[in-house]
Amino acid sequence: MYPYQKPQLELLLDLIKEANPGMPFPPTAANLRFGTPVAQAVPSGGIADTNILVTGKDPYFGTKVVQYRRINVTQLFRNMMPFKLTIWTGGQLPDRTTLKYLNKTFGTAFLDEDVLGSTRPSGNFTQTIPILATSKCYSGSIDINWQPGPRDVNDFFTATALPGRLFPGGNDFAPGFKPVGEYMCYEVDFSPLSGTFAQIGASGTWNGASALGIPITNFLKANVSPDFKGDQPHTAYGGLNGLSFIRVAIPIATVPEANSQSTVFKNVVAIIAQPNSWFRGKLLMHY
Amino acid sequence: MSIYQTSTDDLALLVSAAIGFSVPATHYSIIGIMPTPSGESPYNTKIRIKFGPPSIYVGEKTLYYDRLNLADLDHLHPFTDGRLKARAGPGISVSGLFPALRDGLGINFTVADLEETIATEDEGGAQVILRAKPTSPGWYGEYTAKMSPYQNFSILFFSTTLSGY
Repeated sequence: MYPYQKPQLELLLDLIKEANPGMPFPPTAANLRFGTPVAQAVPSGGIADTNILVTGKDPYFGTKVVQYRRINVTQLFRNMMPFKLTIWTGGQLPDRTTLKYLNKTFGTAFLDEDVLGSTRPSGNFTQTIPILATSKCYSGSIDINWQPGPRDVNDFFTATALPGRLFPGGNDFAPGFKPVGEYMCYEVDFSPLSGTFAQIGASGTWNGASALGIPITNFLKANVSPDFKGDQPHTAYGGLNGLSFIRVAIPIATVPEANSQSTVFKNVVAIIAQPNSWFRGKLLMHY
Repeated sequence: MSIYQTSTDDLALLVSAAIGFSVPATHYSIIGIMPTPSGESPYNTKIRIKFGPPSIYVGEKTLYYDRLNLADLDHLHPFTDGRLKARAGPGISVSGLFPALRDGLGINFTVADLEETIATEDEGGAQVILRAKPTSPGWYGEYTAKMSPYQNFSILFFSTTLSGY
């Protein structure tokens, strides 16, 4: 059983194929069924320490007992045991976790049913994990000495994709994309309007045609774009009416894009676009 | 919100979201970063990070995410000719303009992101090439940022002969 790095059933099927070339239908897991392996005395001049009942399935029928030698892990790992393990667990170390570690490290093909579902305490002493007699391909036992180590971050990641690194309003710049509010007047200083902003409230619905809204609209027209229209709804180009706004001191977690590292700006009024607005994102007025 | 902090910190936020708890950027090192080979992922960047002290965790992980194209900055100024109000003069290095770019674009570039370039004079002031380092955690491509000129102090004086008190 030298090609260890295969599932156990494949290892056994390989042995049958090697010893029985020319079978009309290649032996597979679909047309052969295996019983429970039975330990046997090694015959004189032979090496087989195990026999197992093989039952044919369609297109085969009948049974045959075959003899083979299981991989003795005590011998296989004789120079490496006891394994010094620093595997993290929240409590005791399940033997089946140890098997997964060995599979990952050495390419073995241990299955959960090769051992009992035991768990072991940590400590600087040798503990022996016996391989069950029902294991098709392995025999012997594994000695370990384990103490909890750092936990592998791979235990935590549930996905390899990290979505979310985006320009304001998204990364879609296909022709016809909506203007991005954050950039219309990001660096414009609205300080001359600080007195007006102080009166509009901390939040509410924007009204560009009101007594307070008119000077703001005029400032936007003069300093940003003449396209702004104080009397238009937010669905029309240049209109802002009907959108909600918030007025906050920066830095503020709810408007993280506000220019919080500036030495100039201390506050921001943000007008937040809706899906049917003519722009996307937030219109930021720093002051 | 993502571009308003350094790309290193932004990546740490993305990693934190994927891992389920907060991970500062100092808890892992980037051991490889490259454009995603064709067909592996819809995200444009493949990165391998390695956890170690001061983190209490170990292990390496390959992840995919999007770096942003600096050239897309060109789409973001609907009402201007793209010239920032932030000022620059010829001869200023791009790293010297980081504070001005932060105030003008809101983007927090660091020396990890951009190659060192020098602002040059153009017809309306000065311009500086923002060229992403291949190892930038947040950016690729390049963009020419047009900056407003410094006012020439000397031409603002009508007279140098001042009256005395």
